[in-house]
Amino acid sequence: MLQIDNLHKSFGSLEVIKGVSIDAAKGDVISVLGRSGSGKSTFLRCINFLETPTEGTISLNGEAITVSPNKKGDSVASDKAQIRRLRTKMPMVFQQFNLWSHMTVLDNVTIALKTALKLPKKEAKQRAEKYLAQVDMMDRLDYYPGQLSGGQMQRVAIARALAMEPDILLFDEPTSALDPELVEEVLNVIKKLAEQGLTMLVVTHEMAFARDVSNRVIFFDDGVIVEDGPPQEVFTNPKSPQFTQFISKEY
Amino acid sequence: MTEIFGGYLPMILKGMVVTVEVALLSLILSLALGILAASARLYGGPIAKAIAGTYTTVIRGIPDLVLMMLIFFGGQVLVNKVGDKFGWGYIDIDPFIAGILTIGFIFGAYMGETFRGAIMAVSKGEIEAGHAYGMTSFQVFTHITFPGMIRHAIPGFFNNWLVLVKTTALVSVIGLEDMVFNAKVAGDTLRQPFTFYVLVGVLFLLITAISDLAMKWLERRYKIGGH
Repeated sequence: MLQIDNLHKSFGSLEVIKGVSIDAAKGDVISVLGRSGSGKSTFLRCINFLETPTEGTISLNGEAITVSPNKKGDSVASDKAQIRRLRTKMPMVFQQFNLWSHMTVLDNVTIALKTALKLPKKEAKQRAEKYLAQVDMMDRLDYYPGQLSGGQMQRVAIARALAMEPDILLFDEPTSALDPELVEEVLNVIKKLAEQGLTMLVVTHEMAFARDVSNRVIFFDDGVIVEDGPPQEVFTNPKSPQFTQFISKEY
Repeated sequence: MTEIFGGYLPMILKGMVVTVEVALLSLILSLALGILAASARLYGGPIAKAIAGTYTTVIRGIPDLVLMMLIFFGGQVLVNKVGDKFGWGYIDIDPFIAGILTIGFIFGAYMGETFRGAIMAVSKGEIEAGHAYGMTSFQVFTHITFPGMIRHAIPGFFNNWLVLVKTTALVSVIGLEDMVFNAKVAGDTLRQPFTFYVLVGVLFLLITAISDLAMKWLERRYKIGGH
C-alpha cells in the first residue's frame, strides 16, 4: 500500500534521514521507535510532505510522488495538486494536537471535508458526527479546543483524521504531550482502530503499545533503520546493539 | 438647544458627518493597504518585502501633519507639472479625496504592522495542520490563518482606529470642512472658541466611546475559542 524507497532528507549540510525504505501493507500497524534526534519524526513528516524529501520515492497504492529540484536547487514536489490529494489519504495526528483553536470541535472535523474533499455540508456533518461518536466526543460538538482536556483534544484530532477516511493514518508521538493520566484514553482509541484493521504508522515512546498493539516495529538510529520486524521477535531477540541498548534503558 | 451654540450646531454636526466619513473611508483604505503590506512582508519575494518594509518604516517615521501637507500641496504641484506636459489644464486636488488618501496611506503602515504581528502569533502547528489535511494555501489562509489572526489583531486594530479618528482633525488644515474646521469658523465668528472646541472634543469622545463598545463586543465574540 505505502512504499517508501531510499528516502533521504537533509537540512542544509546536515543529513537527518540517510536512505530509508519501508513497505507497509493494508492493516499494518507499524510502531516507529528511536531516540529523540534519530530522525523518526522527520521521516513521518516526509511521508505527507510537511518536509520535502531530498531524495527518494514515496508511493501510495502504486502512485508515486515525484520530487524535482527547483531554480535554487532545493527539492520540491512537482505536482502540488497531487500532494494535496495524497495528503487527504494519509492525514497526520500531531503531538501538539494542532486543532484549529478558533473553530468548534465539529468545525475542526468538517472543515477539511468541505475544503479539501469538497463534500457537501450535510454529508460532511454526518461523517464528522460518525467519527466523533467513535472517539466518544459527541457531547462536546460546540466546544472550542481551549475548553477541552489534552486527551479530549487528541481524540478530536483523531476523529478529524478518521473523517478523511484515509488509507493510512500517521501518528507523530500522539501521547507525548499528554499528562500521564490521560495517555491511556488516547492509547485505547488507537488500539481500537488497530483492531478494526486500520493501517497506521505510529511514532511513539510507548513501549507497551509497540509490543502489544503493533504488528511491526521499526527502530531508527542516526537516520537509518537498524531494526525491523514483528514485536515478539525484535523485543526478545534484537539484532542490533543500538536497539538492545535502547530497550535495556527503557526497562 | 440650537440657540446655545448661536445657531451653529447644525454646521458642526454636518462637519461631524464629514469627519466620520473621512475616518471610515480612510479605515477601509488602510485595511486594504495593511493586509497587502503584511502579506508582502511575510510571504512576498525579496522585492515585495523591500517595498513593504520601506513603506511601513518611512511612513511611521514621518509626522502625520507633514505627510498630509506633503501629499496635498506637494501632490498638487506634482500633478500640475505632469498635467502641463500633457496640456490637461489646471487640476485641483479635492481635499476630501486628499485627506482620505493621506490618512489611509499613513494608517495602512500601522495596520500592516498590526496584522503582521497578529499573523505571526497564529500557531505554526495549526497552519501546518491545514496543509497536512490537503487544503490549498489559499484555503489555509482564509480558513485558518486569517480567522486565527483576528483575535490577536483586535487590540492593535482598535488602537489604530482611535488614533486614526483623531488624526482626521488634520484635514481641516488642508481646507476640508470637517468638524474641527467648522468649529474654528463658528468659534471665530461668535468669539467663543472655548465653547466650540469643547463641543468638538465631546463629539470626538462620543465617537471613540461608541468605538470602544464595538471593540468590547468584538473581543467577546472572538475570545471564546481562546486559551
